[in-house]
Amino acid sequence: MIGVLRIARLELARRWTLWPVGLGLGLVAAIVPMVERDNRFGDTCMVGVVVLAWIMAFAIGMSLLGRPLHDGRLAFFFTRPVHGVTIAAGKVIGGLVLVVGMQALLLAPAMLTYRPNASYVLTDYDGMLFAIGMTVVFLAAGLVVGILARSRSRWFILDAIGGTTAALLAVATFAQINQAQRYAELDEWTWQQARPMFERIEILLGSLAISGIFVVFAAVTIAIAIGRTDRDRVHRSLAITLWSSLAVLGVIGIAFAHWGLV
Amino acid sequence: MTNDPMVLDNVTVRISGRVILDRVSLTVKTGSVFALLGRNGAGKTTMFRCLLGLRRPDEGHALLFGRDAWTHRAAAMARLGVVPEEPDVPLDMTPRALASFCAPLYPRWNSDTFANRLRHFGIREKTPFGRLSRGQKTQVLLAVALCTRPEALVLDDPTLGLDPIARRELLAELIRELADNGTTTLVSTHDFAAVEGLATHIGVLREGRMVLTGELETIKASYGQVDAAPLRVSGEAPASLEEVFNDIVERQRGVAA
Repeated sequence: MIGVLRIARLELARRWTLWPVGLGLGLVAAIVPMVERDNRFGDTCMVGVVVLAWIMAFAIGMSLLGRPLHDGRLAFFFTRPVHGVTIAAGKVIGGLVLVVGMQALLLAPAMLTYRPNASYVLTDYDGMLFAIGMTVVFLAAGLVVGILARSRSRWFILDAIGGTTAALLAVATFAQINQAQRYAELDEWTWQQARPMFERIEILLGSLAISGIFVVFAAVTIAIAIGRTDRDRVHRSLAITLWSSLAVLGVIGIAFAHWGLV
Repeated sequence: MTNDPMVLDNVTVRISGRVILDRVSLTVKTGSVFALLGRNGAGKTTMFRCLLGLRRPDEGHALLFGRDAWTHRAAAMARLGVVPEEPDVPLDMTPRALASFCAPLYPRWNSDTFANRLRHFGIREKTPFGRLSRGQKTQVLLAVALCTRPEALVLDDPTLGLDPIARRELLAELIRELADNGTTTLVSTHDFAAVEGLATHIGVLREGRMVLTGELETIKASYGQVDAAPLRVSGEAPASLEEVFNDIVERQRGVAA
């Protein structure tokens, strides 16, 4: 545990400047609409800085493990008395605290200067959760893309097959639900009968999405623990763990959507 | 099972179908200083990576302190000091942050020794690693390795890229450590003159194969008397480690031709 904390703290110490940057952007996004007295401009400004934070989260994700793996600098950690899982978990947790903290600081000024007509990402609890949740999604995506892109190994074929399969399963699941929903909405009685089922499916899909994020973090951690400083081995482990786990989640989703809605 | 600190047993490594290490065996005995010699691309760094548990051999075993280096890497690292060929500390990390990071991980870490070593070499604790010279980076890494009071040291070409003064200082530091503590050491180098005064054993790696291994004095003596005859027309014993190495390389080239 001490190793996880040391590595997470190291990542935070190396990139702490992102927090004042987040706070600065948040202040800009909160102050501009007060000066301009134009809610639409304020909303655009706020959405802009939130999206910027997502892009930064993606870039941080790419640099957390992919870059040191490519540059051979992960060996610094692997020549210390810490386990591979500790190294990867420390870096992932450090990255999470960093980007979630940055997004929270970015949203804080706007939350404190609440305006009724402002963009939904500022003013309600769900909007804030969405903004922070997407930050985590972008971090996770950055971690994966960073490793896959920088390892430049032959396992990109697995990525192509796995990624396509996962995307097809997701599309098929949503298509199935949409089709059933359109059918149920044809008359009021059917819709009233079917509504609880759609609500359950919504909960299930939300759970699957959250599980998907956990799967990504777990797959990255396992890949680094198995492959260590060997880019080829890390890429192979990540591709196998990630795509197979996401495929299982996809099959669960499509099966539930199909059999649950029949 | 062996009690020797570092052992490679018939290790083979293939990368993209190419054989990088071909059934390499090596034993570094307690208290010895083993110098691994080889030209660029001979497989020295890959061998070190296997020994440090950074890479799993495709065949054979790498052992650290009698246990498999791949499966028991983390535990072994607490007893081992490592100086890599390419300094791998994050570039924005200062020596002070490095010490603060390492101290809780090593049960025998000595902060005073670390600070004293940095002071001795005029390295400021707040200078980011990326702004240190090559020699200073190596000195910092050696300081980290020695401050853990390791049972064994692994030095992958530590004098590479150093100017003569930095090289002399590094070697003086090593000699002091070896004289004071008798730490078991495995060092790879191109600097024959440097290791000649340190090494008790040598191994010569050529194109992924260990072509010679043994006690330095025995090898030097036997080369002068017998094996080098076709190459050394004077018949005198080779005077230096470099000559032994050159003889081996030339002979291997002749066999290959």
